[in-house]
Amino acid sequence: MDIVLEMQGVCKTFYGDGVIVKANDQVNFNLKKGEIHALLGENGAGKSTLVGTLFRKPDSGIIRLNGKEVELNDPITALNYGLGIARQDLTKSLIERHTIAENILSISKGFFLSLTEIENEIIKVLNMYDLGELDPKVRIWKLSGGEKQRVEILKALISDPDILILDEPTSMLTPTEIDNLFKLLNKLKARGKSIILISHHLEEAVNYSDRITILRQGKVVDTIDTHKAKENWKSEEEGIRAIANLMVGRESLYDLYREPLKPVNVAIEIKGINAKNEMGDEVVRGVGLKLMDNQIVGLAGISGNGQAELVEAMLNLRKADSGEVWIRGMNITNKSIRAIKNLGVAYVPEVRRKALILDLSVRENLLLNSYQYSPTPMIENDNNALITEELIDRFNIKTPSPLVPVRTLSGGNRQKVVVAREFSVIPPDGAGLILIVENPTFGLDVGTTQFVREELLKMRAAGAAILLVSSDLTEILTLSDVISVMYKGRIMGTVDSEDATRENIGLLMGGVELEEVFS
Amino acid sequence: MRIFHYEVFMQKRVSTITGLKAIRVRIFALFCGLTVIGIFFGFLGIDPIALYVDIFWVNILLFPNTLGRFITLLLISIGLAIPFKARIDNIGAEGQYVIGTLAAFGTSLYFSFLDPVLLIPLMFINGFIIGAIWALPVVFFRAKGGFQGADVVASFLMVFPAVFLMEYLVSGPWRDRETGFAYSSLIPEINRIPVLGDLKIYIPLLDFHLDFSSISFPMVNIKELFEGLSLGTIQINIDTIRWDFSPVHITIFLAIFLTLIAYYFIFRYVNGIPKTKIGYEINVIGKNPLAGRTAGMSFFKVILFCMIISGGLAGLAGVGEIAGNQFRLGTTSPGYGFTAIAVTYLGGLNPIGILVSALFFSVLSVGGNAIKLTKGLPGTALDVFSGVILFFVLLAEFFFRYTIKWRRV
Repeated sequence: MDIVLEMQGVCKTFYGDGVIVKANDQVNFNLKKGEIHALLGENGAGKSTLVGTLFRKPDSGIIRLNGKEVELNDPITALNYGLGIARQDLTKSLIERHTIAENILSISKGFFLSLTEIENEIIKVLNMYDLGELDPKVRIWKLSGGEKQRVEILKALISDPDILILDEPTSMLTPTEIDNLFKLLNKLKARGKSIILISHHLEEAVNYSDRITILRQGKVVDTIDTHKAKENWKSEEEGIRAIANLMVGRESLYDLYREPLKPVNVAIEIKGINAKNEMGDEVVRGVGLKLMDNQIVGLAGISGNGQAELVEAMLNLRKADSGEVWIRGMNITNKSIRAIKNLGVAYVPEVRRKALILDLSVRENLLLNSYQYSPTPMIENDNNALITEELIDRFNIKTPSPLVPVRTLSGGNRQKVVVAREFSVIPPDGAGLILIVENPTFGLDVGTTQFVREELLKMRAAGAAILLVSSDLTEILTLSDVISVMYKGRIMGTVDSEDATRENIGLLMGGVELEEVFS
Repeated sequence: MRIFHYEVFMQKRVSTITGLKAIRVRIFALFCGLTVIGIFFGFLGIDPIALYVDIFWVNILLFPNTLGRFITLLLISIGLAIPFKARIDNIGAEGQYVIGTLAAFGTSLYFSFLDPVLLIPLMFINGFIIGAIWALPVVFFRAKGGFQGADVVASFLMVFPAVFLMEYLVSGPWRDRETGFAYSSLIPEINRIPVLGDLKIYIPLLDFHLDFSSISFPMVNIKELFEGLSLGTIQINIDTIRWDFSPVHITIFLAIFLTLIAYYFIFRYVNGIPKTKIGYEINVIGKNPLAGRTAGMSFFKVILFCMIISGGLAGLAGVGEIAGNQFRLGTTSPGYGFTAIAVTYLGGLNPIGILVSALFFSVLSVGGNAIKLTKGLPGTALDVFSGVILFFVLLAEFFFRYTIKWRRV
């Protein structure tokens, strides 16, 4: 088969946040005509960056299309060369306030803009590719996550590209939609189109791709011919494990032991919370939850189903439209965040920017809760300095000195700073800690992930009530005592961890009702 | 950006420049600024080297005047450093200063029945309160309005009502009927802030064996200069050169005391931690307001604190200037509030640095004023100093975070 796209020695470096990241380091990659080529790797391995260099040229390296060297300076040039991309981060790729048609202007021709023409074209392409119903006049913010993703895929397809790039296209789609998508990809492949598929789901890569390229820390580890490799693998699982090992490059997580504990006291209870997102959409609908001491409640769900807004509403960082929050028998609805935190609530937000002040020192970042413990307007400097030394020691934060800015620390150590600070909150009157953690291991290396999970279990044993919000099913399944699944702002069901399997939780996450799953 | 065969681009530094190196960079920026100003004056037909030499000598001679100016700039700048540290851009210190001068004059007018021992402190209290009130709109627009930059707009716009109010009062109700110009009457001598003028301090170098008619200054004719100056409030006896400390009112002790207080409680680090909770909160809000909010800090309270201090200190500066130095109101605002922005940034938002940079700008201001008087430079020539230097100092702030790199393409 002919090679349609060849990338040679591609380098791309990012500067910022205090660290230099070689996102792509001498990457060689080629794409044959009429193949599905999967690009796999951990978070931050450089997959999105690599396809990004096709639309915004790399720092160095050669890109050849059909054997001819080209310079792809901007997305429009790339579009004209026949490249189409569905990006991963839809908040950056779609304009929320515009309609679907206004978001897809790439096919407009001539000087004047004809929206009706585009709308007609959209409907034609939707029918042609069987992408389901979408009204081109609807504004993006009114769509669900899955619909937005379909718009993004449509946007890539509509210019009828020779090379189609899909960056995590299935993260928010339902199982049926995923099936349809891969049927469509196979059809396109048969028509001689080439497809680059970036995915987190290894089984998708193993089942549908022709070749797999694995990236690790910006470098290509290996390129596998899937069809040949399949003959050697005894089962699909073995293949997935083999690829996973290549991706991680070291042993994966070992099992954690969760000792049986009997929760007694209700620590925090939320009743019927409704909340809206920034766009005024109701994204949390009548959610109720109960957290007990010595318990980890896992809140599972594909991210963007209202988990973030629910946590913010609980902590009064976002205004709840209705509902109540009770902490140890006390109604704290609409109390200030400081008052809530002073009841012994600790919070590890998913967005690191909410938790860390990168320009301040490690010590100052560790003080964000404890600085206010003294009764006077003064800070107890010596005492606090001592506390931070202990935290750095206990949580094994690797820093040259407590006085260097957090910006200079690696991602894992930054998260350790947050974890150290929040896990050491001292609740009043010897009550148990209430700990709310959102995706605490997102983007961390294996060692730190393991560390954070162990600490969570230690906190549980010490009497903390923990709400673990995570879109990582493995994390939820290994850590939680009780699992609640959120879908489109609703709790689909609450399952005891003994009854929970990857399959039934997965179904709940996809919006299947509890009765159907357990019938 | 592409220039011929080179691609020039900005790059974020791995770590921000701080400490001694930052001071070196600021001083370098200062020299760049002075060079550019020199070029400007060169176009006006003035030898820049001679200009700076003269500024130096004039300041030696008029050191008390320099100190007088220093009081005002120091008070305003210390006040500015606090909101600047919290990333609240109070660029309207001029308005808060002007309203402080009005408060001082008004107090002396309407509370004249009080004993000076009560009246003078009352002036300061009123100046502080009214200055702080003048800064309050910034708090509400920034904290409740929810759009960034509201602080810049609101604080700047509040300058104009203050100046117009001053113009109205001085040309209307408070006008001194006996002068032809729009001036207010003088504050009665008994109600003025005590000055250091009685301490005649002996200058070892200057009155030893120097005959002033024989010193040749490149630009300034000393006799002319002194005659020019004696028209104003400063009286200098050329024959027995002594520093006359009458422009230095005792507000200087208040200013230095407040500087040290601000340093001790807000800016000082002990074991890498600020001394007070509010100092820490200002730090956090300034660097990452989102994290501060998530941790439970009240953005509103921090801004309120910063702006009350800032407006209050600018008000105090106004009181000191009017009741200790000028004694009467005019219709134009002198621009100290704007110069103070440059002072604050040159001082690196740190009280100790501001002590030095306030002195530096006082030197420029007094020297420039004297030369303006004798050489007939346009009145706005002085603004060139603070403007150009602020530009270069802010440029230095940019280079603390970024570098410019280029590569061949």
